[in-house]
Parts: sequence; structure tokens; C-alpha cells
Amino acid sequence: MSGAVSLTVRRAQSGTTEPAWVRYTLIAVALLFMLLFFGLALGGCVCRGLAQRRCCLS
Amino acid sequence: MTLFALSKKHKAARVLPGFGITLGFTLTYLSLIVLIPLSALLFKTFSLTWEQFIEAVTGPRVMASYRLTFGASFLAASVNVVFGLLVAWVLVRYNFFGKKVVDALVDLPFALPTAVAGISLTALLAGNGWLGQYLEPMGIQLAFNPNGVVIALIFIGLPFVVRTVQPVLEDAEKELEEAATCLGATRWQTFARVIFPSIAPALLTGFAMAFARAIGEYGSVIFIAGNMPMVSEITPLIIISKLEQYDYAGATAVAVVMLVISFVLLLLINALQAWQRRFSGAAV
Repeated sequence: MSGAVSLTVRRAQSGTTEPAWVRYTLIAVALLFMLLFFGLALGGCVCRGLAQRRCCLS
Repeated sequence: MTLFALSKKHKAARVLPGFGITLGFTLTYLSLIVLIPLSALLFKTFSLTWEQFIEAVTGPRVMASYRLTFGASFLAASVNVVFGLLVAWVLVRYNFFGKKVVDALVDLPFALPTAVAGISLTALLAGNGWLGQYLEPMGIQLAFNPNGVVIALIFIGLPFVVRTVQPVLEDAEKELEEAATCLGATRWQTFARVIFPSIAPALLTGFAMAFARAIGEYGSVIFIAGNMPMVSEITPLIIISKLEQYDYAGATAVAVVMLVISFVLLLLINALQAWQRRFSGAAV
């Protein structure tokens, strides 16, 4: 009985959510975009700043 | 019926009190903050003759800067509409590891000084940067040319689209999607015909805001653009150059042209939004 209910719920949800592969692709593309434009840019700046500080201290 | 009686009847018909004082306050505030500085800009250009004005605003360097500024701003805002919608969708609809960090990261360009953004992107994309050292041997140069301008404008414009679309997506009625599914629509049809029309005005607003911000952007772009005349010089830089040469009238002339073009473009976008609202209202 509970199996039938969960199957019904899953079918109903599949109408209002994307298939798993679409979901994971969208998340991956969004994260890649954020990593390229925000993560790497800031990471690069911080690392360069720290490297210069090491140079200055030594 | 006399004019006085008509006006009295009109006044009596208003339900909310205080229209006169609020309108007066709004107009005074708008005049002080926006209209007076802009009119000062216009008056300054009157010191030029018509020939001098035309010469100042249509020089080859200035024309090249208009093309770069408006073209790069349009391109960056268009990219931001696509990826801003994607980021907003992913943040609203899905749960994943690091979601809160990504959500916080979106606001970064609002808080970050634009010069820091420019330095960060240059450090990343220049020939000796993290990405640039691998891309340049392949012939892909992203810094010190117009590509760099577009990248900097994408960086500073993304939050405008994400933060405009996100609340609309959060408030979208799930029942409409369920109804579309019950009526036999596929997921793509539900997105294209139910979800997209409801978020389209917010997307247009995000586009307009990202575009407007990109047109006036200076701090982040000058680091990564290379500022080569006729190639990668943006219009705000031309204005600054003229000011540094004490050519105040020439700088204001270029500024007036920027102002007029930006105003016309934003008016067009507003008209498009109004048309879109009427169109979706008629469709319902």
C-alpha cells in the first residue's frame, strides 16, 4: 500500500521537477560559471596578495 | 459647472490624503538629486558652439568608444540574463552542497570595490595569470582587449539579474505548474508557457539594470581593458581623459551623448516591459 502511495507521489512530483540528469547538469553549469567568474578571480587575487606579502616579509 | 466646482469634486474623490504634499516632496527630491546635476551638465555644453559639440562627440576615438561601451554592455547584459536565470533557478529550486556559499557569493560584486574586481580579473586572465598562462598559448587572449571588457561587465552585472529574478521564482505558484502537468504539458512546455512568461518582466528589469550599470562602469574595466585607443577604450575613460586635459566642455559633451543614448535605451526597455505586461494580461 505504502509502495503504491510513494509511487503515486513520485509520479506527481516528476511532473513538477526536472529529471535528475537535467537537475545535475543545471547545477553543474551554474556552479562552473560561479567558480570561473567569482571563485577563481577572488582566489587568484587572494593568493597573489599572500605571495607578495611573503616576498615582502622575507 | 464651474472649473472651481469641478476641481473641488475631483479633490473630494481622492481616498488617500496627502497627495499634494507627497507629490511636492517627490518632485523636490528628484530635482535636487537628479534633475539639477543633469541640467548643469547640459548647461556646461552650451559653452560650445554646435560645430565644436559635433566635433567633440563624433571624433573617431569617441565613436569607437561608444561602439565598445554599448556593444560590450549589451553583450554582457545578455550573457547575464541567461546565466543569471540559471543561477537564480538553481538557488531557488534545488538543494546542493555549498548552496548558501554560492548564494552569498552572488552579492559580492555589490560590496566589492570595482577596482578590486578589475585587479582580480586581470590577475586571473593576464598572460601570467592563473587561467591566462594556459589560454594565451592556445591563442585565446582574454585580457587587455575588448574580451576583457565584456568579462568585467559580466562580473559586475550578474547580481542585478539574479537578485531580480530570484524573488519572482520563489513566489511563483506551484499550483500553476501542477495544473499544466495535469493538462498534459511536458516539463519543457510548462517552463516555456507557464513559468517563463511570469518571470519575463523580472528578467527584462534585470537586463535593464545590468545594462545600465555596465554602461557607466569604470573602475573594474580600466584594469583589464588595456585602454588602447580605438580598440579597448570605453567612453567613461574618454570622459576622464578629457577632464584630465581640462577639456571640461568636451567631457560634458560626451557625457550628454551617453546620457541621451542611455535614457532612450532605458525608455525602450521600459516600453517593452509595459508591452509585455499588457500582452501577458491579454493572454490571461
